[in-house]
Amino acid sequence: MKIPTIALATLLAVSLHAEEISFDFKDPKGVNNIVFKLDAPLESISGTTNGISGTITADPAQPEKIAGKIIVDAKTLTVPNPLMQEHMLGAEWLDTAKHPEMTFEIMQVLHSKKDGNSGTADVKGIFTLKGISKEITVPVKVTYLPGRLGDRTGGKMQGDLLVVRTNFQINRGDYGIKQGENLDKVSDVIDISLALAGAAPKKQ
Amino acid sequence: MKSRFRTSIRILALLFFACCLCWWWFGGSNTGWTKTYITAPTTDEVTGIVYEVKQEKFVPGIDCLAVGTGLSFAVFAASFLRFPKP
Repeated sequence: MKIPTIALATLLAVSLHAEEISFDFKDPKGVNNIVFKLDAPLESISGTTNGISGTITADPAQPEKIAGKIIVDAKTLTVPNPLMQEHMLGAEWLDTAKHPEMTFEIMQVLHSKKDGNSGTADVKGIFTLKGISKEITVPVKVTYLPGRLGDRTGGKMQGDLLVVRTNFQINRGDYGIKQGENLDKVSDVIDISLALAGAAPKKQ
Repeated sequence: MKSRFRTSIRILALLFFACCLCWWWFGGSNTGWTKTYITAPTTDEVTGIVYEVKQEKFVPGIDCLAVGTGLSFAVFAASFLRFPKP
């Protein structure tokens, strides 16, 4: 009697684990992007990056069960002015030579709401910029697109997609980026918008 | 002769300023810094993600206009210099 119970528990655990899908956010199409905006009294700066990677493990049936980490290659941040970009990536500002990555690691999902294949939640995580890590909570919209990977790859790969969107703000001063300096030209508040699609290819 | 030379320099300065102004104006009247690329929003059909597609384009900003204006003023100011007689 004991053996079937253990076997059933093991089967249940395996089947529950099987529902979790791992999505890779390294997008070969270059669609995944992060836009950052700084609106200072004298100058408005807007830039982008698509140097994004990382994985998120999600259970489509349980939106609160999301874990993972998104990594941004800091050297891929671009602004339209080459001199401004050189300054931004340089030692005085982002110091990408010493701190080549920005990361967001999911800790906890709060207030999740599911609506069909979409869901919203407040995601608490650790945001790391210029080597300084802080706990932040960001509002996230997640859309699960089962079986749509084939449409994106022209049928080369089959699988699912997970689209993650969020907008949030950080203060550069909190991350040791020239705190209280040049505020007339470079705003302390940075508006960040993420729109990412992760792929989970089905194993053949 | 001297007066004609000074007038030529001033006309040159004025033409240079006009060219800079036209270049900036018809290059998009960009009141920010000079850009070496522009972006066009594009929507991914499958995911609905809006992303920026970069296009290489030189868009002169107010820094280009300021340099052009400064140079034309310098040329104009040079016309007031007293040249030593040969």
